[in-house]
Amino acid sequence: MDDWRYSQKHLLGIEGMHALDINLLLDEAEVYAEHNRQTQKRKAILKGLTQINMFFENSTRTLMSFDLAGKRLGADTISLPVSSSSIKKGETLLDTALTLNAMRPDVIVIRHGSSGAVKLIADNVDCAVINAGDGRHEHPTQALLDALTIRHRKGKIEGLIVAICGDILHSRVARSNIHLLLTLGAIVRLVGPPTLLPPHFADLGASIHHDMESGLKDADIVMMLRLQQERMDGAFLPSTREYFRTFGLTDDKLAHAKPDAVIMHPGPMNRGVEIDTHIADDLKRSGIAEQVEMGVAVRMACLDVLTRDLRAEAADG
Amino acid sequence: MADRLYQNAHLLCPATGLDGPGSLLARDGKIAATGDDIIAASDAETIDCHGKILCPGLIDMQVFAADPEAAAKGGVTTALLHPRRGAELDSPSKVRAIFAGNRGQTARTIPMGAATRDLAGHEMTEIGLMGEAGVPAFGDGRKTIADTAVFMRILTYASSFNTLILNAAEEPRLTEGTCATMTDLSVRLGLPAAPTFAEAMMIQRDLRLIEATGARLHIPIISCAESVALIADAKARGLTVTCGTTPAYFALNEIAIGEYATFAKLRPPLRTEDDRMAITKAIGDGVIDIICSGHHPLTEEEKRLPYDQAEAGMVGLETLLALSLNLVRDGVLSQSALLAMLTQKPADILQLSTGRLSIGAPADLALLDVNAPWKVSKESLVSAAKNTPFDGLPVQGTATQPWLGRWA
Repeated sequence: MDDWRYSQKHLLGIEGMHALDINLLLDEAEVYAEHNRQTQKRKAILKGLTQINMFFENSTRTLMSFDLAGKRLGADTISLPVSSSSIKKGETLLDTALTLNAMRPDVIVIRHGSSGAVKLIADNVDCAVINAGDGRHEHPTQALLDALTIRHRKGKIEGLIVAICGDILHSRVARSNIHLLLTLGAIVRLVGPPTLLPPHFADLGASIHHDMESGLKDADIVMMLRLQQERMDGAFLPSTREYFRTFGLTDDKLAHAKPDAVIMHPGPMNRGVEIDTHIADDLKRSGIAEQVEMGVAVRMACLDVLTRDLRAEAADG
Repeated sequence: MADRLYQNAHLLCPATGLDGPGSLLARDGKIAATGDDIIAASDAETIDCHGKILCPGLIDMQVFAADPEAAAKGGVTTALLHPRRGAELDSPSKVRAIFAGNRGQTARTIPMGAATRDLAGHEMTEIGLMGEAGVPAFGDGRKTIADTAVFMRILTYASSFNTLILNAAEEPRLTEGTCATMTDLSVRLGLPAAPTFAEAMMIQRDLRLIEATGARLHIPIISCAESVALIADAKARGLTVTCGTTPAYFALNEIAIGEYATFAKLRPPLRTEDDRMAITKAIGDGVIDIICSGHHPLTEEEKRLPYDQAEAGMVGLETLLALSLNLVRDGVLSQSALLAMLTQKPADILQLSTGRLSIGAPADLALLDVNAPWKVSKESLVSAAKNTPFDGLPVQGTATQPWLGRWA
């Protein structure tokens, strides 16, 4: 369906998204991935449009990626790291949304520590909103860039066995990936200790594994998640070394996956905690650098697609 | 106070068994006579009830703010004000101030005394002195008294006064930092969640403690099937326990949260459909004794926040009657049995003389039109706060402004 038009105003989450919308974004991102390998990367399609990046949580790579994506498309980008701005002090999120809206941006990219917070802002502004991660809920551009990486490496997504390993409970990356991969026909396995992988995840359509051997068996893709420091030290896990022993990605565990399995990680990695350092650096097997590259392409595609109607209206005068 | 004669009424009172046309005479704030041929003083004020239901004013066993205007609109004549942070109700002077605030109001607010100082869960309050001041029940409001030794001593001490103790049913170590029930829905929404059995575990502990101490315990809200089973079993064994719920737990399930609808953020959080059905059945079976409103007015600023940061609670005084009447229409229980849960039973649990149309009882009266349709909305609610998850819902059942009798 070449003439399919993106059916939503925002990009708030993968859950409930139509496969056609997902594929549209991936196809567009594919073009940008090619484009980004040229020396002259700058385009002017978003010239005159304003993109505000509002990150209520610390982030370098996602913020940089969105900023770079906007700049490459010619948009005026402003990044407000809220943790160091005055907006945080005493102002409610709703007031922040109204303030943002008054600046008349054309697209807002938001990361926030609370699940649902991005939707709260999207409901109260006029322009398109992209969720750059809300609490444990969703991180849709991460799932899209993961899907694009998988498509590059494997040529398809449908029918692949994807194992997502680690702290599933607290992970928005896992949730977005589960929805996207299932929508596009992959088989999704979740692997982690029961404290970080409650049984309710099975209701999403994924299978649950509490050991790496059964979870990784014949997997095409092994997706490792970052383990947050605060989950270790006895709260959810006894220690990092025990975690590495049971759930860290090592050669012997990886041997259960297909020989050509691709290893992925949303970054930043805890080497020696969830992943053995030499596996992370194995360029043949690791898709980690490619994920970062695809990230910029996917975000360019999202910015492009979400502002299309707006730009068409402007062109019509 | 002169005579007031209510004529042409349908008298309905579960406590006395009245259920039919008749008149009622109130004299000096007390019910003086009920029946067909009542002789009132010549200067008596007469009120034509137009065949509507005249019943005892409703008694609401859980509100978190005195809101007499909203109470009056809901037909509630007596509301039990639970202590909370900022209004701890942990000394005789503080509870007396609540009683004093009732003067001239359209509905009565009765303080529930804190069971521990500052609601901190450590030191017992002056239960005896507050009881003398008229406080009918004690507990720490929404805060569970988690320390088992402290709670056992409170129950032991209270049993000597035959005082009613309330304890919120949640294991705080499981619910701390959470805002939803652990289900596939909360997993999808990415909300920090606690298992439903966090409620049942605390009930289980408290039942064992009243078995040991003989104290009277009321669990203000139960919301799940497991709690129903525990209470039913405890009652069968003769334990001195009663419990309540609010309309939210028989009218809604977790689906009402939708996409982070903070107006549906309650405590305990909304449960599954199975739990909702179990609560409904327990109302019909009599396992649940009373229905309360859980009235907790909150501002837009407290509610229009990311879900995990928003305050939990809903306004409920004005919707208590209409939402509860849906149970009658659905055949869960009879109109008279429902009215018992809203009048006689809470009065009995709190050992109040009101909640009945018997001679000599306070003339706390409500006049109900159980079929009158209206729509729950910001415009229709008189409470200053509008935080209801039932916004836009068409309902039936209204009360005219109730009459307050004389208690002393």
